[in-house]
Amino acid sequence: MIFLDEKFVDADLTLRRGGHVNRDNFTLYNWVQDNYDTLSGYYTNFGCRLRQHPDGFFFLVVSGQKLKSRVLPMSCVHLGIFLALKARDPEITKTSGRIAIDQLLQDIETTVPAETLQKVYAPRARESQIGSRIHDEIASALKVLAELKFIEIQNDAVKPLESISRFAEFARHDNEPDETALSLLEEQEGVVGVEADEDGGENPEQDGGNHEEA
Amino acid sequence: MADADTGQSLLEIVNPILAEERSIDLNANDVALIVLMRREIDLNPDGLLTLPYSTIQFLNGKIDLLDARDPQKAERRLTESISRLIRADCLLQADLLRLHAARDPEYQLTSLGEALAEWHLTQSHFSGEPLSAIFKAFIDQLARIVERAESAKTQDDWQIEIMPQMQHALRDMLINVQQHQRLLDRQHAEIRDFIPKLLTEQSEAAIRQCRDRLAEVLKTIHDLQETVLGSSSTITTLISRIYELGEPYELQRFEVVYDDLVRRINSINNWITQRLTDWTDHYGVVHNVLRTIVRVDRYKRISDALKRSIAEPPPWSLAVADEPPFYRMRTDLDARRRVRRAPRIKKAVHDRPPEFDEILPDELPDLLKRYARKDYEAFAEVRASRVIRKTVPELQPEGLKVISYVPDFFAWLVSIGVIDEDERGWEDVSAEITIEDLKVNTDDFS
Repeated sequence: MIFLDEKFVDADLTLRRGGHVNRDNFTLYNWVQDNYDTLSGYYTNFGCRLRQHPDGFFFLVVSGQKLKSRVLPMSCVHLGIFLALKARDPEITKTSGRIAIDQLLQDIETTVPAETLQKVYAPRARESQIGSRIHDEIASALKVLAELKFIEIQNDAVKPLESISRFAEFARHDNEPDETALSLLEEQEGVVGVEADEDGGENPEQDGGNHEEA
Repeated sequence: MADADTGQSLLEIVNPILAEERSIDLNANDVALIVLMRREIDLNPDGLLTLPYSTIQFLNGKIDLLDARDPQKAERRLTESISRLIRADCLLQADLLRLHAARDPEYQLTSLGEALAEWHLTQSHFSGEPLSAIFKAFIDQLARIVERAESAKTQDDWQIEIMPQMQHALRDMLINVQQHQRLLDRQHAEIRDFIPKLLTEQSEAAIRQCRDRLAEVLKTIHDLQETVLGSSSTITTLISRIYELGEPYELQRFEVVYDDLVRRINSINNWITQRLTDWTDHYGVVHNVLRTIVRVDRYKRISDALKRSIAEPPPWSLAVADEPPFYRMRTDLDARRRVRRAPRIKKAVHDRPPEFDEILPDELPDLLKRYARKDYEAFAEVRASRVIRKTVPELQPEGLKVISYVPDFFAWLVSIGVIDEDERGWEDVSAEITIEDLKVNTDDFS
């Protein structure tokens, strides 16, 4: 009876709150892997799908109406893509997979065009406040990504976990997935399309899901 | 200032060194040459102790090959190296008397040269072995100290023999371990810098090389951990035994030496554990990059797409489960933390305690002045004794209170009239009070 196991509570809470079970949490990861079939059946009853990504980690894709879901804000997705890119850089091995937060901020500023930075992280900010708003928004996005176990924040550094590769799903299709690929991404990876508002805000496309904006 | 062991003064030791300007001035090539010479002697099946110049020339050629130096000046460099090694007392010519073989002279390592070569040979091994050897030597020394401690009978045995041995053994071990730590850290830092270059190359050979380096590092770290953790328990047991044996003697500084030993051993263990964690992390990250990035995205197609995608706001997002947390039940609340307030009761205005105490003004000064005026009206003079005598009954039961006002009253009398110096006798004004009388003639009672 796995449901009386304490690890079930940990795994269930992590997954229901949109988190990922990565290999770095070795005990929990092994437990989920060992009980994958039972857990998969359990979450099917909630209208969800327990997925194991080809890279190894586990996460929940919500498709029915029984469990709530939310769409990640644009800042989290952009930062996730940026971290997924940094995690692929061989230079990251020098620091055992950690990126200093100051370095991350500096890299974002030098790599991403200023206009994109403003649109993503400070869409409605006044000219004089753009810099501080971008900084605050990145800090807040890092917190959300850490809560969802995409990354781990260790002192003044960020360690991307293997689940960060979910942000590379679009790039696997060269950023332009065809319809079949897109529907597969929606179904298996929880990808949703967003249309930017005129004022820079975002608006998830209606797909009949039970999504809430974060 | 004499050395306790040898009886030599420091001056006697230091003077000849300074006078003869003894120094060891060698460069990296000289050290490499002496290490190769030592190795060559060790490997020689005939057990020769000397090397002919031609062999040294051959060894130097190998060094030049590795160092990519100008081959034209090889002979000159070799001659200079040999001169420096001879000046530094590391090498000597072994066949001075064999004049017939002067074209191929033979050279021999001195004890200093051998020790130098030995040290560098030991340091160049990148494995757990040197550390295990250091620990083994330390354990042997400790075991001997335990044996000696078991036979020790007096406090002097401990102070003169055992404690200095403990300190000496610790110092030797620490020097060796620190040298090894530095080298290991340097080697690891080099690997840390080297692996990204291999990963960037992405050729199959580079990947294989990368995996080999990682396996080597992990093996070394595991060896180190096994060695140190295994040895440290033996060391701790031996140190504890020494402590048990020495404790009854109540030796001076014994606790300090013991604590120092334990602290150093713990610090070495912590260092190894920390390095193990660092390198396991590093291994995991490199392994992950190899497995999920280099193998899958050999031509960086995904990385390039990611680079392009960060230039624009993403046209997609991820939907993640967002089940709210359970509601906290009332039983979860700590009842003791709830403060129950008393109900408010409306009180009548007169029930309230007064906000301040009413203090009536002191009337005694005015009373004295009033009686003084009456006294003047009756007798055309004022006598203090008469005035106070009349006042005292008015103040009952606090008749004595008048005393505190007598000085002020006298001062007032003096200020309004002229004192009759002839009328200054002592007068009883009540049963308890006697005053020096004061008679004043005045009519100014303003």
